Order: sequence, then C-alpha cells, then structure tokens
Amino acid sequence: MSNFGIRWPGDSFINRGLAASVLALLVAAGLFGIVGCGSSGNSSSSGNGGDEIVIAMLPKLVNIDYFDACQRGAERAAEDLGIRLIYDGPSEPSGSEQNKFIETWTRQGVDAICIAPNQPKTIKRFVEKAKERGIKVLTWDSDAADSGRDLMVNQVDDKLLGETLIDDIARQMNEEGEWAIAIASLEATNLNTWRRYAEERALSHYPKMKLVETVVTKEDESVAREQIELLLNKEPNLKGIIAFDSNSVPGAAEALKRTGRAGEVALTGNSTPGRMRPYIKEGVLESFYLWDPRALGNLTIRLAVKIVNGEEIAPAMPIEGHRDLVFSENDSTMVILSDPVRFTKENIDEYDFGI
Amino acid sequence: MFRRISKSIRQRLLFLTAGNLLLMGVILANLLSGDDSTTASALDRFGTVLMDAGPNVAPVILAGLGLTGIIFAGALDLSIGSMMVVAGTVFGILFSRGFDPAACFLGCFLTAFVLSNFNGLLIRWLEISPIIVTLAGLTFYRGLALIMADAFIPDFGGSIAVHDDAYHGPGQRYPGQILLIAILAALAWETWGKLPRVWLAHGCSPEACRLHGLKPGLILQSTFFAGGIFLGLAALVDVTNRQNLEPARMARGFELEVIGAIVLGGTNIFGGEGSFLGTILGAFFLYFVGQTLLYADVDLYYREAIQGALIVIVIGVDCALHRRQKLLDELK
Amino acid sequence: MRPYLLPILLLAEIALFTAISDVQFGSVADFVDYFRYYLMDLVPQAAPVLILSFGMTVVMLTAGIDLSVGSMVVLVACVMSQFEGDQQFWMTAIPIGIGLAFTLGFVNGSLVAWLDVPPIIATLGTMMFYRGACSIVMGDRENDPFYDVPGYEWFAGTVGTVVVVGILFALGGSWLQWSRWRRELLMLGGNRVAARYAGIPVTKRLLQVYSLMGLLTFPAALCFTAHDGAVNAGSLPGLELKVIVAVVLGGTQVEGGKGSVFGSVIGALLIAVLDEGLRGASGWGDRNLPFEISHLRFVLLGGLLLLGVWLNSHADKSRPLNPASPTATPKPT
Repeated sequence: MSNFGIRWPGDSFINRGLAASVLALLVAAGLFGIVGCGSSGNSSSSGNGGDEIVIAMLPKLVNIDYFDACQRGAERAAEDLGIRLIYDGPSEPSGSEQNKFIETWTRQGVDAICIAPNQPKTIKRFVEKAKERGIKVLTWDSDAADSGRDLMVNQVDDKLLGETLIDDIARQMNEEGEWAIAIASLEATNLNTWRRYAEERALSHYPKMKLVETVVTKEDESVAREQIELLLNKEPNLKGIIAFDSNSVPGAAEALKRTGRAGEVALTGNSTPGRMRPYIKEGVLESFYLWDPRALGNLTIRLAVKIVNGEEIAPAMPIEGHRDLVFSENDSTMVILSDPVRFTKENIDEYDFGI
Repeated sequence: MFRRISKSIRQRLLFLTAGNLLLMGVILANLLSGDDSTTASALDRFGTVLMDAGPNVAPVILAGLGLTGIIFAGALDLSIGSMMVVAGTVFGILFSRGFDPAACFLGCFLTAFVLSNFNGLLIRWLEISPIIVTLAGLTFYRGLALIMADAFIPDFGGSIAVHDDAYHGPGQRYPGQILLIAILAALAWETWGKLPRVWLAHGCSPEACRLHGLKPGLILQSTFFAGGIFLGLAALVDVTNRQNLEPARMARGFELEVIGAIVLGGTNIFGGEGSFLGTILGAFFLYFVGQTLLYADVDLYYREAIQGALIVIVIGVDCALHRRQKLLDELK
Repeated sequence: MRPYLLPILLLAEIALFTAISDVQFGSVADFVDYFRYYLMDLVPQAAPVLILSFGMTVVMLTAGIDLSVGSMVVLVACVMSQFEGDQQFWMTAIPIGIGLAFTLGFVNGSLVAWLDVPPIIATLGTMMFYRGACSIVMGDRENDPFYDVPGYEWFAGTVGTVVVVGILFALGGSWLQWSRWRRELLMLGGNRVAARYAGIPVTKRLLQVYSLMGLLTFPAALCFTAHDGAVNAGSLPGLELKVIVAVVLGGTQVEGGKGSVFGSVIGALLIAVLDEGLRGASGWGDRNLPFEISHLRFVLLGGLLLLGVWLNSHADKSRPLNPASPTATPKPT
C-alpha cells in the first residue's frame, strides 16, 4: 500500500478490490457459461418444455399440518393427471412473502398458480402480472375476490360455517349465557370472516347470549391452552367457546380438561380429527367441524388443470373423486368443495382426513 | 447477598416486588368488583391466578436463570428458543419411535444442554461476538429441527401429537416443583457460590480475570455449561406441557421474552452487573402485566401496545434516575 | 476485511442458484432475458431491506441496534393507508408519513440518548409498542389506497426503487464515507468515554443517528406499500432480523466502531438472492433432497451469517497488519 502510511477512505477498493472484482466477474461468467451450455438444447427460456403442465400451489404457510394434508391431496391429483406440481410457501403467514413466490413463478412461466392468500388485497398487482403472461390464477382456502383471479375453490361456504358454529354452540348452551371466541390472529381473513358471520348471527338470533371476550392464540396450541385457562378463571359464568382454527380448539379442549370445566362449558370450532380424537372420545367436547383438506388440494389442482386446458368450468360438472361442482350462490366464480363435516364421538373413526 | 449488590439493582428489585404486588392487587380488585360473584369465589379464583402463575412462567424463568449467568459474563445467547425447538423435536422423534418416557425426557434435556455448550465452544473457536454466533444459531437450529423431523419421522406433517399422559410428567404435573427447586438452587448459589461472582468479574473485564490467573475461556464456557442445565430444564418443562409439537412455530420469540425479563430484572445486558432474583421478579412482572390487561378488560387491540409501552417506561424511568450517577462513573 | 470476498460470495450464490433453478437457457438472448426479469423482481423486493440497512449500519457504528425497524415501517405504512388514495394523498399522507417516521425514530433516540437505556432494550420495547400501535390503528382490516394514488406506482418499479436506493447510497453513502460525522460515530461506538473526552457531543449524535434510522423507515415504507399495494397490522414479520443479518454480513461489527454502508448493500443482496434462489429451486429440491428445500432457508441463512462474519474478521490475519483496522489487534478472549 503505497499511500505514505495514510489510509485514504476507499483506497482498498481501488487497489485490490477492483482487480479482484473483475476476476470474480470472469469466474461467475464462466460458471454461467457452464450452466448455460449444460442445459442447452431446450429452446424455452421459461424452463417448461410446453408439453408438460406445471402448476404452482401457494399455501398460507408451510410446515403446518392442515396445509400439509392439502399438499398430499394436491400431489395425488398431480400424479393422476400427469402434471408437475410445485408446492411451496412462506414459513410465516405473510402477504408480502407470498407475493415474492408469485413473482418467482411468474418469471419461471408456470401454467397456473393456486394461491391461498394471507392478505387478499396485496396480491392484486402480482395476479395481474401473472395473467399478463398468460398464467391462470386460482385462489383456494381463502379468497381474493377483487384480484382478478379466474376461480376460487372454497372449502366451505363462509357464511354457512360461521352460522353453523354459532347455531351449534347456541344449542349446547340452550341459547343463553356468556360465550367467548378464540382465534389464531386478527389478520387472517377467512377466520375473521367466519367470526364476523358468527357474531352477526349471535346478535340477530340469540339475544340472550352475550359475547364476553375474544382471545388471540397466535397459532400456537400451547398459547391457546394458557389463554383459555385464564379466560375460564376470569369468566366463571362462561357457558360456551367457539374456537376458529385448528390450534385453538385442541388448546381450548386441553384447558377445559385441566381445569375440570369440561361438560360445564361447551366448546366447538374447526380443527383436525387427528388432534381432536382423544378429546372427543373423552367427552371434553361434543362436536367440531372440518372439511377434507386433501380433497381441497385435490379439487384445486384438478380444476386448475381444466382451466389450463381451456375447459369451461360450469355448475354440476362431474369431477373425478368429488361431488358434481357446486357454485356459491353469491359468486359465480366460487366453487364450494363440500358442506362441513360435523365430527362427534360416533362418527370420528369413520373419516380419515390424513391429519 | 442483598448487601453485596449495587444500589441501582437493589432499587430495581424493590420496584419489581412492589410492581408485582400492585398488579396482583389490581387483578384481585377486578375479581372482587365482578358483578355476579361472591367474595369467596373471587378469592378462590385469585388463588387460581397465583397457582397458575408458577407453571406458566416456568420455562421463561428456567431459561432466564441460565441466560442471566451467560449475560453476567458479558456474552449473550439469542438461540435459546431455537435450541428448545431442537430439544422438542428430539423428544418428538424419540416418542414417535416408541422410546419410554424416561429416554424421551433425557433426550430432550441433553439436546438443549449439549447445544448450549456447543454455542459456547463455537464462540471461543471462531472468536466471533456471541450475538452473531447465536443470531446465526437462532435460524440455523430452527431449520435443523425441521430437517430432523422430516428425515426421522415417517410422514411428518408439520406436527407431532403427544397424547399419552406418561410423557407429560415434568410439564404438567411437576412444573411448579421443578421451578421451585431451580429457583432455590439458583438463589442459594448466588448467595454463597463463587462462580456467579467470577462470571460477573469476567463481564466487567476479561483481561483483569486473565491477569488475576483465571482462565477467561473456561469461565465463558462454564456459563454456557450452567446455562445448558437450566435450558435443558426449561425445554423439558415447556415441551412436555405441549400436546402437540410444531417445530416450525413453537417457542417463537421466546428469546425476546426471556431477555425482556432479564433486563427488567436489572441485569446489565453488557455484563458485569445483575442478579438471579431480578430475573425471577422480572418474569413474573411481565406475566402479571399480561394478566392484568386481561382481567381489567382492556380492549384486545390495545394490549400489545400497552405491554410494550410499560417495558419502555419502567426501564426508561429507571435508567433516567441513574443516569447522572452513570455519567459520573464513566468520567471518573 | 477484504472488500472482494463478499461480491465473490454473491456471484457464486447467484451462479449456484441459477444452476439448480428450474430454468434452462437455449440461447444467450434467453439468458439475458431471464436475468433482466430476475433483477427487475429482485431489486424492488429487496428495496426495504436495502434502505433500512443504511440506517442500521449507522446505528451499529455507534454500538447500538434497532430492533423496532420492522414495526416502524409497518406503522408508517398503516397510518399512511388511512388516507384516501387520490391526488391529495401526496399533500396529506406523505408529509404525515415523513413526520411520523422521524418521530418514531426520535422516540427511540431520546430513550437511548437522554434516558441512557441500552439500545437493544429500548428498541425491544418500542418494537412491541409500535406493533401494538399498528393493531390500534388498523384493527383487523387490510387497507389498499396505494393502488389509486396517481404516480405512486413508480416506486414499485425497478427504475423507481433503483433511483431511491441509488440516491440514498450514492449521495448519502459517499457523504458519509468522507464526513467527520461518521468518524465521530466510529469513535463514539469504539469508546464512548473517550468520545466524550474528545469533545464529541455524544447525546446529540445518538439522537441524530436514531432519528435518521426512523426517517429512513419512510422511504422503506414507500417502496413497500408501492410494491405490495396493501398493508395490515401483521405485515412484514421478521423484517428486523433480515436487516440485522444483512448489515452484519456486510462486515459491520455489532460492538460498534467498524462498518461500511456499501458492505451492507452486498449483505442485503446476499440475503435477497438466497431467498429468491430457494424459491426458484423447489422443483430441484423435490427431486434431489430427502426433505423440503424451504427448510434450508433457515439453515443457510445461519450458515451464511457465520461464514460471512468469520471471513470478514479472520481472512486478514495472515497478512501484515493494517494499522487502521481494528481487527489488527486480536481481542483478548
């Protein structure tokens, strides 16, 4: 370093850094060359030879048993139909992370993208971008009505589920007394849609029922248990709880079991049979609801393939392995998978949802 | 012990004690003023609040005691939550392979213990600041847990359900006892033991320790050794209290909760000053703040903001009170 | 630190992930085309982290840290989203956003500078507080006025983000590089007592640093809302961690007294490329790995952090000592 012992700002960049950066660029160019040559012969830059259909599926988040079951159903459909499935998603329920996945797949030029949006409004621009490049876009599990998606595959009619839950709990509470809500987060759109329908119906149909508390369980069964234990202690006159996600229901059931208030406080909600089986058998709660998540994944992929192939999706259309297509009453681009299954002690062993 | 610690920490301990009592008072007042309950039932429910507090804060306090020692010596471990996840995953793997409860408990404890020691070794070998090493560990161990679960559990679907009472002993039946023993041991050690004081010395000046003839490397390692024992217990209590282990989401933000409790307890985050007792009181304080917000019927959307504001205010006021003294010390 | 190590690491990363992504090139034109789109996506995605990494580097020079950046960005975005999306937006929401961003940073700064709260604790508290404030402002809604603001979309495009990030780093960065201000911060971070004795106004400098950090959350929020179009109270989870990792990876020392904003650019890009690469490689992962490739995101991020920092601090050891480099004297441990 010939700078008379003085270190000028940035001189190291000029002396060695520049030369080395040029070298690095050359090395990288060489690497790219190898990559490029190694896979030459295929004429498409989109990576898909055109003959094979590629469908990308984006859950709200990965590593969670509900969406894992959806994935298995989707994989089954992909295998049956001979298409290639890319299933990936963010590790946290974040809208902007999901947008990045949509951008990546748009660039890779997949044929269809099936999205379960965390934030329905934020995907709009990315859906538009994908559609500009001729990619079909479906939503599933949770809707983004204004995004310009081609089709929504809804597991259940939102209104029906919310009202079914409140009706069930009202019947168990004899339509009077205090009730509470447990919900994973205040941002999850579909959970809060169900919650809203339930609250509205409680106000209009069950005047003697009083909503006393809403607790947030942060998508963690252990947090749910702790929060519900607190709630039970705080509200000695509580008669019913509706829990709106697959972690809150088992957490609430465990809390009822540990505090010995089972039977005294009614509980219902939607969760997975695998986790709820012990509680149902012990009689901690009478019933809970779910649809088959594998069927949801399966139907989504089957419909996506039909749309990619240019088939018209119409009511009462027969789909292999599913009931004939039923559309939502309010939305002609929304397919309803099924009515929610009511699980009780008697029928819980009849179903295998894979979770 | 109470005489040995510095004035500012002593004040903090008194403040936290008063704060905890005040919060309990608010909860009790809220229970008593409930319109449809008798005094007896209100007292009964207040008893439940107190009885539940121990088991619910047990993981935070246990991990906090270990981390307090590490912070005494001027180091930090941000990866405690993720290490607990790995321990929980090992527990789940052993459970799903049909090992008996004792083996599962041991596996869980040892995993956390070994990883903590490994962190200590890594910090010494790489000579990188502990924050960086354990920040890397924070994400690394989480991924490791997921990969392990994927590789060793057939048809791993994101969660491991543990519905067998034999596997829930430490977390469900004895969390209070475990916590009590650990607290008593830690306090006794702090009062009569020598090692915590050596850690504090190391936190003040590793160089001075070296000149005194102590081995700074060994001192640092011993904090991670002791921290590993506490973390193992914390993992055991936390994991066995869960019916369902989800490597991707369990113990999220646990490290921040623990660090919050420690700092609230008056321990200097840069080492050299602090007490185990403060950590315990700090953890209870944070817990009771959450409880009070619930019992006082504070609107759901306001709770997190109030909790955050409270931490800032408590520590801010305390720091402001001692600022002049600190500046004078600095310029001595 | 060797300034060329990180760019090499970055290029190697891009090459590796291109090799295992599902994309194949038939011709040079395809290749160029693909990379054009690649960069057009990558830069706007990385913009918030890039912008924030500037401020975080400056904060870390003073041996501080700011954990509340993610919450600040979302809070600024949430407040801005309360306004109608029309021409008026520029006259109302934007000034309020700037003012709020500055205020939030100033609150952090006053806690650290005036009340002497350790930065990690002060900003841990404000991280919770600001995030809680987002819930108060937003409730459970998701707002999207940003689509309708005329001209707003420019900040979502590649050109817009490159201009914003470019101005920040070219002007701000070079000013910083040669300013007395930076050297005062370096001294402050290296030894605060010495800095006081040297007549550096420590309290004032700290206030300035955290206010700058706060102010920078505004352009970050601008790019983020323009890109995503909507915001809710839970947006951008874990952003602070990404920013910190980017800065540390770029060679800035958490103990203060050493660092460069240009290193942070590379650090931020390293992370963005890693993220993007793993997203593109899921097909390859399904065929070749016994587990989900997305799990590698955690492992690689941790590994990259350790590797980057280790290279930064240890690659120099065998060479003659550089008198200006703090690593010249090995730390006693």
